[in-house]
Amino acid sequence: MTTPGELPLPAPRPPSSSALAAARAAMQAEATTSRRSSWRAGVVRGAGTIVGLALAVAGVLLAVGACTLDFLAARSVTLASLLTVGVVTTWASLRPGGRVGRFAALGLSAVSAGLLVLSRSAEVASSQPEWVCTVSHVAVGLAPAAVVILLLRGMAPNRLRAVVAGVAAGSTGALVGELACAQSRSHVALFHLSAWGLVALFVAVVSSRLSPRSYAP
Amino acid sequence: MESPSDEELMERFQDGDARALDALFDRRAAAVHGFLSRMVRDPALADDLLQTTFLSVVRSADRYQRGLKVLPWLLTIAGNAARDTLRHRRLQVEVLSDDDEGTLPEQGVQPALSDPGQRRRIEQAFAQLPPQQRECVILHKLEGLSFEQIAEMLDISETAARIRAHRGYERLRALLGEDAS
Repeated sequence: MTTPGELPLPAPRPPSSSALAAARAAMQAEATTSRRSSWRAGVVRGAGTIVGLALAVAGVLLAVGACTLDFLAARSVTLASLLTVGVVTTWASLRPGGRVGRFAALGLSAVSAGLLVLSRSAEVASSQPEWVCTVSHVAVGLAPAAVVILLLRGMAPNRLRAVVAGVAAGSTGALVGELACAQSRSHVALFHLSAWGLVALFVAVVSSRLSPRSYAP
Repeated sequence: MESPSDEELMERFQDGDARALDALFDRRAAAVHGFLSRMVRDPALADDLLQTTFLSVVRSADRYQRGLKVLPWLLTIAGNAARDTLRHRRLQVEVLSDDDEGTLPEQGVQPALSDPGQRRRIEQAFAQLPPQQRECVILHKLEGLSFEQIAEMLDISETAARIRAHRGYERLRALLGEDAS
């Protein structure tokens, strides 16, 4: 019996000259017409959307008096951790290779999520229905989600990469939650983190259904 | 004058030299096509995926990290395209017919068996491997890559790469054993 270790498979059929010519022509046409993407520019675009949106919301809330500089200062640690998560997860999801970096980014996000919950008091009453936070966070996360989904099309489909990109997009909603919501620990755990998870899931599902423009790792 | 390495050609393409990509294509298209043919077991689809692979190189040249070996990078792109296409098309793996036999000797490919029946049995067994296991076996045994390189290419751990290849070999052994008995 032939053992798999020997594996004497015949050489595959060589590409036909017409297949080679077609591939070369397509490649040359693409090289002259296509605008090359840069993953670093993608990180700037993705992280810029997240940070820019969070700053815009903070600006509006300050302008209408819905939050104060003292309130922002009191939340500075969680806000800084979320901004860091937004930037780091965007970078980790778009950079070539770096599987370990993506797991590390997820770990950082989990720590940040824990910090969000633990930094709140045990009980705070609110006149608003709690689901309002979930809906608003998901809504805010849709714009960065669209941006990262488009950026993910520039590389090979990868579930872990998509989840990390989704976590990046979802961090925008979590930032808004830190700026605009003063409810309790359990509220944040249930209604804020679930919104974060929903956005991450949305990005993972949608990006897995789109055809990528490139299969580069 | 010594011809530039694949890595030098890729770096020159990154710097805007389109002729470097042509030279890389001339040098590596057959190897990439051979890998794709074994992955998808469909010559026409392998032709399409060859085009997809080099289009991806053009579109994502900046994702090539200087210092990396180019051929494993090209095979990674080809493997990603093949897996995604197979998943979307839910392609049933087919055994190549005798008409599709080729004669081009490839780097790392061992010579064909002289017994056509035995060769066909091996082809059939190989075609029955799940794509993930087949890919690891091709990359390890036929392309001569280390498990560390395969892990890097497939974005999995080295242990996972070893397990996939080991399961592939076990499955081949079982299939060929069944065939022999």
